[in-house]
Amino acid sequence: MDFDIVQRRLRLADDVVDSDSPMQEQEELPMTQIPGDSSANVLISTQVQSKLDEAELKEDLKRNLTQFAFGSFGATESAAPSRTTTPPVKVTKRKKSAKAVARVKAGTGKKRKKASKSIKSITQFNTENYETLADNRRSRHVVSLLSGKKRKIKDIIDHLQVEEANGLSGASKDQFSTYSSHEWSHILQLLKSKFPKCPPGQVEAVYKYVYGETEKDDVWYSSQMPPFDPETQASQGFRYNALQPLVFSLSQAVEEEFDENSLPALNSEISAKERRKSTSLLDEQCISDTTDETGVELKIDQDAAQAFRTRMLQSYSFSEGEGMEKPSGNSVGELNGDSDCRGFSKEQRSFRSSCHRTNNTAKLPMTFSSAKLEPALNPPILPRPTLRTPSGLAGRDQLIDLTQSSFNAVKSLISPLRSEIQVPATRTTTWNDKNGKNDTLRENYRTVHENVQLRLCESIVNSEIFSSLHAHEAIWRLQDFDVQDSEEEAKYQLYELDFKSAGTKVDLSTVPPHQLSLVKSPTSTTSAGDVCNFEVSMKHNLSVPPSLPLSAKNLRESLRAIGLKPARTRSEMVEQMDCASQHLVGENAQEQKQGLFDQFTHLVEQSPHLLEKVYTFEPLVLSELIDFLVKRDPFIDKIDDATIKQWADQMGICLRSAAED
Amino acid sequence: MRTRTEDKQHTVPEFYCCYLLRSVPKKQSFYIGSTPNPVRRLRQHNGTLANGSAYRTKKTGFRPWRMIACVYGFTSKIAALQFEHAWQHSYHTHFISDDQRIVTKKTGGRTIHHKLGNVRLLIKNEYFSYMNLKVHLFCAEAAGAWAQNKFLVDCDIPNVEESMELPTNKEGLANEEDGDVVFMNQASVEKLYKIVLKTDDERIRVYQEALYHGCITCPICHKDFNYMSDEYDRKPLVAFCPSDNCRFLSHLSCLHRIFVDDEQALTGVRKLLPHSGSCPSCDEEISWATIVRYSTRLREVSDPEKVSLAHSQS
Repeated sequence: MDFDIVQRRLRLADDVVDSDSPMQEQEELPMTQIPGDSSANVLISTQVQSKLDEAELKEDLKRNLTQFAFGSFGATESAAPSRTTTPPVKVTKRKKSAKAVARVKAGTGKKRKKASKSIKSITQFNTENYETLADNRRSRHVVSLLSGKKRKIKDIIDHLQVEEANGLSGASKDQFSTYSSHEWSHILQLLKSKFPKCPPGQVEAVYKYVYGETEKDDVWYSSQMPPFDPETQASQGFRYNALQPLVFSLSQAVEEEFDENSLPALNSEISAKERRKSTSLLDEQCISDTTDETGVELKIDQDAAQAFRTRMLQSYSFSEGEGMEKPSGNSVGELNGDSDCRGFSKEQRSFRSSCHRTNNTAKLPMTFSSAKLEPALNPPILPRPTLRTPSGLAGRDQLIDLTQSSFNAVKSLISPLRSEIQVPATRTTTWNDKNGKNDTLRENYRTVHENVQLRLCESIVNSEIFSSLHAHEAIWRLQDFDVQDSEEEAKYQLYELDFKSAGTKVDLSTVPPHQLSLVKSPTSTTSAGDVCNFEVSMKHNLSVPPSLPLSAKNLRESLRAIGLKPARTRSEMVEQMDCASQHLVGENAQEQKQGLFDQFTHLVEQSPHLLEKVYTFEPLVLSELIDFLVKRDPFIDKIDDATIKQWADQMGICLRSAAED
Repeated sequence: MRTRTEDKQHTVPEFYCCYLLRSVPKKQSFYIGSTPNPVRRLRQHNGTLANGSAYRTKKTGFRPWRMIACVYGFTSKIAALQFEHAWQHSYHTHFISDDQRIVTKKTGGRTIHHKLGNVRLLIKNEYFSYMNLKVHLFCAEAAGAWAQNKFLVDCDIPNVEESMELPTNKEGLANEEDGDVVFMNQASVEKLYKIVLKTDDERIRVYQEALYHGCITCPICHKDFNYMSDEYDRKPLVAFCPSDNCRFLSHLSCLHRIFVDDEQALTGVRKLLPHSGSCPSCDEEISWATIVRYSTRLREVSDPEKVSLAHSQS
């Protein structure tokens, strides 16, 4: 899972960076900044001296180590609760140790750094710091090996080290002091209050789904796991007083927004929207600060778990609050029973077929492409057809206009958390199409064209019951069926029938795709809503790229496999495919090619004059042969010369380039 | 209606071959070429004839050259040139599939084993397999290399013929003199060339005599044709059975249909060209290329311009 890998790498990278600075500094430092309220219930007799000491230490450290003012914040958060729960006796002990540590720090911390900066003998330095250096080297090596991007890792680490060095020398000390600790705690409280609660059983289900259940046996995975039991963590996670620092990563924020986009329930109540909006805004605020930190160790495992939990909880609360009307597209069938399910599938189909129609009629004036489409797509009882598309809160901002051909700045877009948002290194973006579907319907012909393709692909893949070539055929057949339809509502039944008839031809099961995938989902019984959706999207992601001609490259390859001239533009190639599918028979490219060859042979046999030339081994001029064939069947014009040469070689036809002797 | 001047009718050449030369003083030097007249061409290579542009074989220290192998029976000059090019460029020709290629680099494959292995591969190719090509080896080393089949090229094709000329070989061994070797080689090439031409000429004469009978009915379609007529339309291509004592004669197109149908029944694939077929009369397996060779030459010699020649012969 990409998620785990990213975690592991980040952790390793952190280790590399942290191994330079002694761990104790970071762990013990927070003790000096504990707010005084925690010692309220402690006996005065044992506390007077410690209080004094503490105050003294605090002063000292504040003077000497102000650059850690911000860095200590996260640790403070984690230390504070433990303080409140520990008995008074322990407090004294800890205080003593803290004192000792502080003394050590005050005495040696600076000196050591000075000493390490002014190295007198390299050999001495090397022998003294042998272990640190070796650790550094090893972890560096591991990280670069794991990531496979040596240069990038080197840059990151170097940058971190430089930054750290600067930070230690106090260069960037006031860089992070955006909020005081009070402000932070307020923000945290706000965040927590926005996150609804959730039964631990559900959290556990999600957790198991995300992390798997067997991973504990694996040494590597268990080393990467958070140290505590997931269930206790889950139950503790959403109390208002946080037991651990709450850190949000940028990817999480991105994920959060995508979540908003891809969650189908956008035609829901406004209050829910607003709630989500506010939370995502808060998230962003957190992110902007925390991700810049270098001194604080990002506890990624926990974050990830939390992030997922929050997401889960949100959606769960949604479905609770709004009843059964609005859950995600693929889980409707499960949640709503048969009648709803049928309505939904029908609706889905109608949407798809409407896409086809716009595709096929796009050359005509686009009268009903946008404005008229909307009402036509809306059967009164059913939810809006844009169920799976965003009505565009954040989506509108991120929408990239597909008509602008200059959009290829992003070669691959990978979210570590949301694996379906992966854009392969092609020019068409699955992600973008998904988001911008509603809007792109209003755009020009080509855009619609691409959209249609993707739309079909999704539906077919979700059903997961036939090979790529079946799917291939399905696409084109279906398109053919839709040509004569108009935008009247009454035609929807017709669409559906078309779909079914097409389905029987290509073994497309008439069961709605979402039902199929739900059956396969192992967690569907425990948590209905989001998990299923997640599962489906995972499958979707896995099966789309290899099986379908999404990209121009794929199209070109399949055209070449059949033996057609690859056209320059994508839409031309799609047309060619369309044309080829009408002319050719055969399951795969191989058979289609053989079919072409048979056709050539048949055409030559029709002409006794040409046939005589062939069987007397007379060299034929290639261009004349092609002209002959094209005259008999104009479709052959679309066929690559190389294909004809290949056929000629098989037939023993001697070809020559020109008519001269 | 088609006129004779409009398109020059194709005739399978009497002789067209691709050959492999080997430098007598430098045994590792080879030359691949093609010619309709190997005797003349070999003399050009060796400088006996001054007017041939044998550029590559002119280099000092390489002459004389000796022909060690010859592939003949090409159905057109184009086909021979294609074979020559493919043989010369065996590392990237499309006539050899990549998984079978024995020479993968431009600079590789400089042994006699490679050269002959490529001949096997090329003859095996579907395109050349229709032509019923024959291989003639002129020296013991070439014959040994061919028999050894070092690269284990699966060359189980019936229309490949090997012929060895032991006298050349023996005398070549006995006599180390370059001049003698070259002379013997020249002689054996000439012998091959003459024999091929002579047998074909004799056949043509026999067939022409058969056609003098005038109106002949095709046993397959039961329609008449008459090669003695002045009408062009009455002189379609005809097919003779090349077997010595078979008198089968029909339209070439009729026999073609039968052969193609037979082959389709056998292999399940409809082809435009049959490899071979069994004669409807004598049941002998006959090569289609051979039938066409005689058929087209008969059409050529019965052209009005040459009719006078044919008449004078009778």
